[in-house]
Amino acid sequence: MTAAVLPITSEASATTAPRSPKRRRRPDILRGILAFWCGLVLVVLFVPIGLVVLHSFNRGGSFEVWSHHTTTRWWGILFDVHKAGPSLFQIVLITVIGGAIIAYVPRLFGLANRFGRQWGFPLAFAIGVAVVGHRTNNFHTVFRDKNVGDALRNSFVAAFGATIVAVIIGGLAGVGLARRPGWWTKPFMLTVFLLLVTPEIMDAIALAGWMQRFPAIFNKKFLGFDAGILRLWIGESLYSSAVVTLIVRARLAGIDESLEEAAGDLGAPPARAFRQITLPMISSALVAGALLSFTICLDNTIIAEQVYTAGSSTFPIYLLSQLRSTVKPSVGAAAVVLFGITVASLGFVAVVLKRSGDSSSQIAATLAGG
Amino acid sequence: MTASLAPPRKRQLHAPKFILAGPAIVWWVLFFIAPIVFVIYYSFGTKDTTKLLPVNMSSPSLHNYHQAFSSTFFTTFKATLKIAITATVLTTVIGFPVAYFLAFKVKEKWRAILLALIIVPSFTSFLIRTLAWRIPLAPNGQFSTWLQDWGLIHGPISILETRTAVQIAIVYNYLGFMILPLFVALDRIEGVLREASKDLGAGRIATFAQVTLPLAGPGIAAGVLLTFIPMCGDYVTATVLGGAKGNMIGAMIDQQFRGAQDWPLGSAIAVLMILAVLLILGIGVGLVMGVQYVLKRRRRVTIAQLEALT
Repeated sequence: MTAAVLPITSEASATTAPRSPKRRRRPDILRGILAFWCGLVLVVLFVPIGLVVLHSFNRGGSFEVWSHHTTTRWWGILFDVHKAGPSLFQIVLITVIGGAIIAYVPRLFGLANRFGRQWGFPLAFAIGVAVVGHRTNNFHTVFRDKNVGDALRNSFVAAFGATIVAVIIGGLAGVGLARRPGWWTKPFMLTVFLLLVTPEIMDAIALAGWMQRFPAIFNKKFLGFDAGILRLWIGESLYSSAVVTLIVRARLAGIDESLEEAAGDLGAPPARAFRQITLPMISSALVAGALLSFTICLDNTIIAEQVYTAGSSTFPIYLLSQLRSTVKPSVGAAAVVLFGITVASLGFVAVVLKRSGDSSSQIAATLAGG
Repeated sequence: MTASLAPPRKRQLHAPKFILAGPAIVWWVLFFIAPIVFVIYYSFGTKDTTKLLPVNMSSPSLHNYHQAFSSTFFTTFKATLKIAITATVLTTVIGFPVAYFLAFKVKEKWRAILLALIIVPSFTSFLIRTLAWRIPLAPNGQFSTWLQDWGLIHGPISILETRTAVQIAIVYNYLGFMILPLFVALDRIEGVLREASKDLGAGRIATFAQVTLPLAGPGIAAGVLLTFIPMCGDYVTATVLGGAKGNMIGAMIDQQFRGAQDWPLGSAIAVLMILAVLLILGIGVGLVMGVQYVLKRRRRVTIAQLEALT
């Protein structure tokens, strides 16, 4: 016999009365303390990263001990300055000019160019990377240190492929979860949950053993890629596909199925309704999921280290191998490059989600896994 | 009118409801569930390095589990759990005020910027962030010199290659992943509820303890799950900063697999690790539910008591 909620009288509910002025004027001490704490945490979060950037310019031979003098020598060891600078410039140039052409020129001729405005710059960026990549022998000549160059390139190829897999299977599963729930939803969500929380080392050893068991499949070249790359695609796609699933599901959960039903009633076959109605609705979730997945995959260390083969060592694996001897500041320089890519890709996530109308809180929710 | 024009639509889709999730199901069964089942299977075997797959399953036994409970493994186990539990508590304690501040005390414009500032370092390469800690913790580094100059410590910092270094870096590495779910949970609490609590006469502390904190429960649970479990298996931090003294269970599993080629023992340790994590989480859930039960009983107000009050 517990008491129910006390009935609120109309009198009580109507009192949106102004608070006493005394209370309002009191300075919010708690707020000040919390703001200070938050600032402190932010400083601590950024200091180590700042130190890495700083130490990549260290004149001394050690990554750890600051010599009080700066040099760009380590960047020179990593990159061929005469190639890297112009290459970067070319990519930026192609992105800006090409993007502007795709996005704005059709407009001059009075064409509605929704696709161009939405995808002009990303498309131009992709073209720029492809063109410059072709001119520099797949970015081979940009790097002076071939090991770092190969490792970074492998990281990209692996993360890119894994992201494609993750977006396809995660996107479809997300739509299925939101639109065709049933008895399968619970076990399926349990699997997603397990994927998110299983310690990576467990996935890693399990996959390594599994791939060793079927050497005929996993030790062969695949579509012209090294066998290790296929292994990395599989290994890195697991976690990120779960993330994409959750993001897509969260996006569709807020919208009911009436639009798709209307399309169906108007005679659109399911495939067409999916392409013309559902896909545009989830496109921002897919792009955000893809970029997030790319960031996660680029960083994958534990699974990559267990499943890679000699020719497909990725950048984190290279970094770990460098730890056996004294760490050189050039490691810091490479780390800064990776950091820049992460920031850029997160920035894109924020822009994409913001454009689709999400508030910062919703973006945070997306990043925290739906 | 339209109804008569439309063709008699039978259900066109006879496909099962989970068809869209089909690719994901196949992919995850093939590369997640089946491999882990085989890890459990291998954990009963014996090492046989003559084969490509160095496991002999002819006489399955619990031998590996026996060995895993030997003293070295057990100490590492305990140390890992200690590091992970301490780090989870610390990240919650450090992260909660930040999440609270972001959710309730900041204007929308600033909130976006602050959130971005928390997200960026958290999603930066885990390895680089860990590696970064070698700089301030280096015995002959700048930070160490400063501390000695100020007379705060005597002799160089000597926590690199120990468990302390691992502990610090783990808290740092997972802090963002605790703050984000906490923030999301706190942000979803409707202001009306907290207002109502104040209007009904509860002070700040009472509102926090009886309204905000219980409603933030799911967020805390999500944060703990997203940090504690990965921490238990983390081996990057231990490898980069821990050296021989700061060994963690993840690094030990890795050594068994790639170093000693003792897959059965490595598998057994991995299985034990998962079981231990589940056990700890079970205890945690039990404790929380117990506390909730007690609180509920204490706060229960019967009609009779209410009548006595009025």
